[in-house]
Amino acid sequence: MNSRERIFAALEHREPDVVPIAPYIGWYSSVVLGLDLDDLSRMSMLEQKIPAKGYIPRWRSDLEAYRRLGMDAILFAPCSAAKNTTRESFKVNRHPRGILIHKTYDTPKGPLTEELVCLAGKVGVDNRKYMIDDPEDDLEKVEYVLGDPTRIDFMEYEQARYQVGDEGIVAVRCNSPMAFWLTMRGMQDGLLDFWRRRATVDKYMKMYGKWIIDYISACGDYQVDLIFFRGTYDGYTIISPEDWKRYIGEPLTRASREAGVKIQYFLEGKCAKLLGLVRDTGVNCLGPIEPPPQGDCDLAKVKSEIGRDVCLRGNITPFELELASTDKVEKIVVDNIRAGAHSGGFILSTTDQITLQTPVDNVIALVRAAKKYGKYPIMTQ
Amino acid sequence: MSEMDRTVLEEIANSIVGSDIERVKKLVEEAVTKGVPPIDVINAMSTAMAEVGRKYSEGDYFLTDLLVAGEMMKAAMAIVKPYVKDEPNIVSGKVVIGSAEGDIHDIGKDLVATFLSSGGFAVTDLGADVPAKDFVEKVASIRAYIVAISALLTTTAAGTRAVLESLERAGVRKDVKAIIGGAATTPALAAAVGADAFGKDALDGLGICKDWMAKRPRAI
Repeated sequence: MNSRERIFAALEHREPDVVPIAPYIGWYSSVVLGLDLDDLSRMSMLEQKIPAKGYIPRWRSDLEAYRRLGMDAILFAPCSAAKNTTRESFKVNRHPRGILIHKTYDTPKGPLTEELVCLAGKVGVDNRKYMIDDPEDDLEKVEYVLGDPTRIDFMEYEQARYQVGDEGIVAVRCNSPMAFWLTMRGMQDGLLDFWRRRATVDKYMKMYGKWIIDYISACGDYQVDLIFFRGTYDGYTIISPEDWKRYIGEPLTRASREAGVKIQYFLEGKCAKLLGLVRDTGVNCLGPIEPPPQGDCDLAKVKSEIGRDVCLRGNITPFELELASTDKVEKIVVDNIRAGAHSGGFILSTTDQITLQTPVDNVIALVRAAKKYGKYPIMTQ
Repeated sequence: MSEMDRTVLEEIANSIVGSDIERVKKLVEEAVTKGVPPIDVINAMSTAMAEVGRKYSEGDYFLTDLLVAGEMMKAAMAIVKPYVKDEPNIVSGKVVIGSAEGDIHDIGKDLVATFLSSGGFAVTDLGADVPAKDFVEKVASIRAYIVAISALLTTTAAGTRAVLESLERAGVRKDVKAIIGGAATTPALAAAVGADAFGKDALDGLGICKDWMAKRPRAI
């Protein structure tokens, strides 16, 4: 099997030849490829925030890193919805801490602005001003900024798909309603708004819930390889299970049933109590299945509970990988494979991006162990 | 303490647990103007915050509830503070807190700071994306007993190590207890970077810091 066939076999619950190996590479590609972190950071930020000419898409560095490490590639390609009636403009200036980006969206209902600093020498951005300032006033404007979910620009996806060939698959990111709301409103205000202006939050969630159904359907029509449904804030330390059902479960269920496209639900944090609900949405794959303390998942238990219906992608924590000896890495990989890989439906991955401090030898040890012990049929003892 | 004072303090605590900010402000105002000792009001609020933290740890409350409780605590403390000057023993220890360099997230760090304040600690909050040298300077200048470092991202968790190494180089590591926490951190990371403890959430962090203060060697 090639990497593409291997990943699809896992997503479709068939047994591949060997467990697919697809950790989140992210910034670690700078280590593997010897790239300057600032250059990589600029690539990523420009890709997301400014349609600048001549930038190198991040999926290219990810693909090269996956290749050199002998892994199976799962790339991300940005695909934005058409914004016919909204004009975007940018101002980019130097800032003592990096690059200051001021972005304005002129919508038919008035302007929305956001401001952020891409930090020099670091991997994050500092949001100085979030897009949603006055939630009651900004709702209609935000709808224009999201664009028409039935008209998506797949050019970037197409390029990534062409380049990856048989070496992997390409995923299209889609924020969950909580990720959408908190990204646009800011974490502090966004969460406090559940208490201060619940009815308004409800309107945003319903509006966006409808939007993602159309967006995922359009991706299904285009037959993209995978939707990466980003539920970074969907664990039940952040949102109650009742709100999860209403705001996330309902649109996700409709999207996965109607769109005819494979979906990985990236549900971070504590989620053991939600497993049955996640299975019932019909998503194909669940990750990162975080163990304590960040999460509350035991891979073997998750496998026995929903592993027949949902492919699992996990669950080596980045610090296990960073801090272990190469012998210990081998043991961690074997434990993961034994807990999650039997009968197929498993992709070996980290729970988050590999840390920049992780020795390359450890990552190589992960790949070697997975190829040695991940051959099907899997021995569970 | 009179029965009436006790009832008011219980009502303050219940209102915090019930997320009723207007009632909290009204009751706290009433209590301090009627002469209830500020330390008793603060202790009542602290007990309520611990209850909110417990409910969060057990999965009955969510992050919004913690944030709301923090907002109420801040609003109530603003009312109580002018009356605090005659209370000499209100501070249980000095803590320097901040998010590791490169980490611009501060929501978890802010919650820990609020819980520590509610627990009687004098908290110096350095904010987010704090260089290691700033931690060292502040710890040394105010002679803090505890340094608390937060990291939300796996990519920035290494910043916790940088702070502890800088404290060591500056010769002040032995004088300060170090706790790390945040979504990217684990007990294993705490051990690897040389921290004294890992706090799994704000309440856990408060408990660890209180425990340290209780066991702290005294000069006299």
